[in-house]
Amino acid sequence: MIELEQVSLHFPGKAGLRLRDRLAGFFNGSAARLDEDGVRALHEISLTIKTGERVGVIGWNGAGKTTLLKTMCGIYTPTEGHVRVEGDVASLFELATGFEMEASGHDNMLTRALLLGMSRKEAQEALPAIAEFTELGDALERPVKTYSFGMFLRLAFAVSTAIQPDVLLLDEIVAAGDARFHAKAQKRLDGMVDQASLVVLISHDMDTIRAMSDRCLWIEAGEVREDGPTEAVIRAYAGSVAASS
Amino acid sequence: MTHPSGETVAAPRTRETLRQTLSIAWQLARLDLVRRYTSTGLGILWAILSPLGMSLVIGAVFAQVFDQGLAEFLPYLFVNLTLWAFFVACLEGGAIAFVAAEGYIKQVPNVSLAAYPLRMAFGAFAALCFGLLAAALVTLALEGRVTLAWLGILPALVAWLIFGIALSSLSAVLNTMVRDFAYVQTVGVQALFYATPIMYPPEMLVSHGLSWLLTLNPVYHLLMLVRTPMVFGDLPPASHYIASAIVLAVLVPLAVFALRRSRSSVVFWL
Repeated sequence: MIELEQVSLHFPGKAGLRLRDRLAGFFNGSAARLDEDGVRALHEISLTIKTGERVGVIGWNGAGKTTLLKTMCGIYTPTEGHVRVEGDVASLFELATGFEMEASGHDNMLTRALLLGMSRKEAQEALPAIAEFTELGDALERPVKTYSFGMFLRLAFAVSTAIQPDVLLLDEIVAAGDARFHAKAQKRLDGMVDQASLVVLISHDMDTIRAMSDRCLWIEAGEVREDGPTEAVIRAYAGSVAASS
Repeated sequence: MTHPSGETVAAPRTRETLRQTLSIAWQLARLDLVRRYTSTGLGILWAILSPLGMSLVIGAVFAQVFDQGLAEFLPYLFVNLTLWAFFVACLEGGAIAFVAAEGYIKQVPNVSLAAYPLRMAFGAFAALCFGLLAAALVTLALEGRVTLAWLGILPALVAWLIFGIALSSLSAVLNTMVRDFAYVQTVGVQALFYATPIMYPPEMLVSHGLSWLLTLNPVYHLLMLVRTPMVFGDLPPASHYIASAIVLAVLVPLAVFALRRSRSSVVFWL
């Protein structure tokens, strides 16, 4: 279950970078405060997603979709309000960041597995299967600075999907690599979605949203503009897009 | 799971978090060490050669100034410079700890921020152990004796590790919060280098009526814990143990406080 209660999130602007504000934030133990030139990324969002639900999230670029998911999983602490999540959370976003460039693909897989909460022993046991899934073969022994973007994605995707979470947060289904790998990745992702007790998925592809969710949130300027059955929300969103173009 | 409060986390979960934090920190430190030492021809030998080279140069000069034999002065310098290198590495590593981990911090939830300064302290500590081993061998070769007091080096090393972790954590929080701090830190470290009896014996400060400078210098007390046994074969006076304990008793809670308070802010500071 995910519960958001009056959640607001503000990214500090220039004023928030001032020493005084940072110190104040530090001593209050709070994150960013709203300042005039700051960004109000989420504004008083309250919603409950129950176990079993599949929720799609749509909206324009910069509407706050990714921020919403990052707040749900705890990467961002809300400036105001509360977030409550029951169950283990896994999130898939910005997959191609967070590597030690000089280290080998193998070492990066191990690092990532530990970051995702595996013990060293669990990680060592899981690595052969993860390595096989990447199909990167001998390239795994090379420093990842020699990798292409597609190879980064394969590696990150293979590790990140090795753990089955209760709560799965997805930011744009990752188009990992070439067509064949993509199909394989999609299959693995479908399996995870099936097994997860709760899924929240961001996509700009309405067919994906239709196929994978029964409830849809339309986020606009940091607020929930519509929340309802997928088909109805998509229709309202499409109508608004058509009207503004 | 409840956040942002975090206080509700149960005890077994805490142990699990600690285990995860340590294994991440050690894994990253290991990669740092491999990268640092495999990219050079002489590899980890630099952890010895660098302080040894410094010791020889400074030793040659100061042996003249103080009219002291180089052989007598060399172990003293070697131990001091190796410990000082650890001190600096923790502060400088800490300063970039969060910045270097930005990709992880912004992508993976539920990882304790402590993992990243710990990584820097672990890497520096591995180099410290290696350097001290070499210093011990040099001392042994030059003075030809091992005393029971050498056992005192082991608890002293634990104290240094805790010292380094606390410094690295504080440096990480301060430098990420206030980018200007890096410059203040550089000047402060340089000043402390000259105020600490590293290149000269502590008696020099005492004879100039500056013994208060020694009393107030946290690094000096911790330095004594290692160098008195290794270089002079004795245990240091109890006052240094007490002073070191006080230093750690202040720094460790401070570091924990800083990490806790900045937990929700670091991601916005990056």
